[in-house]
Amino acid sequence: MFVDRYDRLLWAVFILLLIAIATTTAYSLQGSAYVTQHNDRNLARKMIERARLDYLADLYAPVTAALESGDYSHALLALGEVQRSFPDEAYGQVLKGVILSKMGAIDAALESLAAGIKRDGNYIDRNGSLSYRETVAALVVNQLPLYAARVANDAGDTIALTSKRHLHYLQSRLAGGCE
Amino acid sequence: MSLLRYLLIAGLLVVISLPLSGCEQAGERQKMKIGYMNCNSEAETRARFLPLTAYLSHYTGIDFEAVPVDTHEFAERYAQGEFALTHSNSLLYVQLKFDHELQLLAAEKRGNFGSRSAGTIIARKGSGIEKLTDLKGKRMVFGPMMAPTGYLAQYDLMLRSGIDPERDLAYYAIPSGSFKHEKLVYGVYFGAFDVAAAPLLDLEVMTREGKITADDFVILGQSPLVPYCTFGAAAKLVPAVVEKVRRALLELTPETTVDIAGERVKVLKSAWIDGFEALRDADYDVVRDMARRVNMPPYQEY
Repeated sequence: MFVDRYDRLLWAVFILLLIAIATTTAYSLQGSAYVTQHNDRNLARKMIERARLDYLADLYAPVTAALESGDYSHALLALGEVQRSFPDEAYGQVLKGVILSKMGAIDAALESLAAGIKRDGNYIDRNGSLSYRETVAALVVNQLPLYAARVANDAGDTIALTSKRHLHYLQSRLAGGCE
Repeated sequence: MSLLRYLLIAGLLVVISLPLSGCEQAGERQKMKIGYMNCNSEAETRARFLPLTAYLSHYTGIDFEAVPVDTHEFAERYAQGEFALTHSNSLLYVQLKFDHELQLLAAEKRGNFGSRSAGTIIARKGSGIEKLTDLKGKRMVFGPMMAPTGYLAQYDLMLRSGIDPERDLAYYAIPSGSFKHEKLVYGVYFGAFDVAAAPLLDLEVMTREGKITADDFVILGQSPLVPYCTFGAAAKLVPAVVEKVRRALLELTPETTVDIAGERVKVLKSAWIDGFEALRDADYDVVRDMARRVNMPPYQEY
C-alpha cells in the first residue's frame, strides 16, 4: 500500500478530501436545518401579524364603514362599543383621532392620534394595511402653521401649546427614525 | 412671689396661648361657596362634587362649600350673591358673563370631544326618518330648555335647516324629572316620539355603558361643537384667588385623590370629569350666536 513516498502522498490527499467532503456535508445539513427553522419562525411571525391585522379590520369594520361613508357621529358611537372591551387599543385610538379630525375637533383628534401612534407606529407606516399615514400627514401640514401662529400670538394659550406639541410628535414619527 | 415664679407663669401663659392663636388662624380661613348646577338631583351633585370641593379647599387654603343648584334657579341665586364660584353649562356661563361679568376659570373635559360637545337629532333606525327635512309633522322630544346640547343646539340646527319647531312639528315635549337626556333617547327607542334632541355625549356614554347600540338610531343632524360645562368666578373675586382656583383645576390629573370620610377617592373620577382645559371666552361665541338665533337668554327679545 505504501510502496513509496508518492503512495503515501496520494493516500494523504485522499483522506484530506474525505474529511473536506464530510465537513462540507455536515455544515450543509446544519445550515438547511437552520434555514428551515428560521423560515418557520418568519412564517409564524407573518401569520400572527396577518391574523392580528385581519382581526382588527374585522373588529373595527362597523367603524371604518361609517367613517368611509362620512357618517362620523355613527362611526364614533360604533367605536365606543368596541372601546368598551378594548379601551386603550392603539388602532382604536388612531381611528378616533381620524374621526374627530373629520368632525373638526382638532385638539381632541391630535391627542388621540398621538396616543395611538405612540402605542403602535405601524398605523402611519407607508406600507401598513391599516395605515392612516396620508390623513395624519395632511393634518400635520395643514394644522401646524395655524397652531404655531396661535402660540406666537398668545404664549399662554395652553390648549394650542399642547396641540402643537402633539403635531410635532406626529411630524417626527412621520419622518421615521427612533423615538 | 419670686422672679422665677413670675417667669414660670409667663412661660406657661405663652405656651397655652400658642395653640389658641393657632385656632384663631384657622378660624380666619376664607370661606366661599361654589354653586354646582344639578344634572339629575341634589344628592347626585353632592356626591359627585364633594371630593372636588375638598380638593379645592386643600389646594387653595379656602374653605369651600358645595351648593347644588337647579338650572332654572342658577342665574337668580348667583345674582343674589349666594355663591362666588360657578360650575354650570356653557349657556349659563354666557348668561352670567353677560349679566354679571362672570370670569372664565376653566372648561370641563368629558368624552370624545374633550372640553366640547355637540347636539344631535336622532330617530329610531328603520323608522323611515332619514334626514332633517323628514322632521316636518313629527313628534319630537327635547332636553331641558337651558341645555346647550340638549335643546339650544338642536333648535338652532333646525332653524338653520329651514324647520321651525314651533310650526313644523306635530308637537314637541320636554321630559319631566331627572335623567331627561336618557329619557328622551328611550322615548324614541320605545316609540313614544319620532325624533329626539340628544346630546352626543349622552349617546356616547349610553353606548359605552351598553344601554343602546350605535345601530339603534339614525343621526339626522349634528350641531357645531360647543364648550361643555364651565367653572366661573365672580367679577369681584381678587385675581390671586381666581388664579389659584384656576391653577388647582388645571393641575388635576386622574390620579389626584382626596380623603373623604376615611376613604381615599379619585377627584376626577368621582366627578365624572376627564380633566379641565383653559378655554378662552371667545370659544363661547358659538354658544352666543346660537342663543341669538334661537332668541334665548341673555339675548332674548319679546
